[in-house]
Amino acid sequence: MKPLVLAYVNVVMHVVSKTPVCQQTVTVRLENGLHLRPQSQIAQLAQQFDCDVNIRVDNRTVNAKSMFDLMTLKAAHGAELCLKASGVNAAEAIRQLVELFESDFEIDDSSSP
Amino acid sequence: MKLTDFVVADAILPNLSVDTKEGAIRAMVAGLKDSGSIPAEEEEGIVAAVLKREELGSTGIGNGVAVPHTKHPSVDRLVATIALSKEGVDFASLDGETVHILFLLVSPPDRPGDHLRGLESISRHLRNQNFCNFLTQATTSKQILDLLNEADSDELE
Repeated sequence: MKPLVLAYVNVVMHVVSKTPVCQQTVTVRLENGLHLRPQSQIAQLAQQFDCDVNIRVDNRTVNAKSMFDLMTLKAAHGAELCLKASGVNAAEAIRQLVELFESDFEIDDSSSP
Repeated sequence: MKLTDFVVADAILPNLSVDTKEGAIRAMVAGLKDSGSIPAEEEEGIVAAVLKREELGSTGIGNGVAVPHTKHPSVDRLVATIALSKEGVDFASLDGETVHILFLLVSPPDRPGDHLRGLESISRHLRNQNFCNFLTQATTSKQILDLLNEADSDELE
């Protein structure tokens, strides 16, 4: 059972100095939190885009393209993350990342972390 | 969470002499067994669980680092060990490079938060270039343990 529904709290798309910026808030639904496998999927997806991709949780912001950054998130089940992309294809990057969260990373979390 | 809260000093392997993923995992789990951190009769089961986790995707996270891990009911707290390989281990890493620094973690199934905190602690220190440099230069368990203590005390720049 996945008890929580993905939260779309904030969707913003605007242009600042011609730089497209897109952000969206998602909730971690995985029982074991955002562990190494989903982190790896996030990094590999984010690295496909030229734009900057960051994830903010509480007051910390990390580079979504860096595994070492993502591993510092400590995002447990239920944590809210703000995904933010700036630059070319920012909206598409966020769309695909949100899709990844919506799919629960295709992970059965009753198995290994 | 401090590194020395969960890295078992007596299980550290400063000079890993194997070059395969399975060999490295076996040696590290054996280190935990020899230190008394996991029950001897669970050694094979833990090796199998760590290898099974690797089948889901390599824990070689790039920059010469791997963090093989598993949940296992035989431990009641997060335990880990460190191994260093001068020659490098083929870990099918995300960046395709061989691995020189390995952290192996075994955590209780009902404590996912501790697992995340352990990963956070490891990655926070590995982002410090001085920590990485000193770690790869270490040749004894004591040097590694001293480095962990310095890192935990924020004595590294």
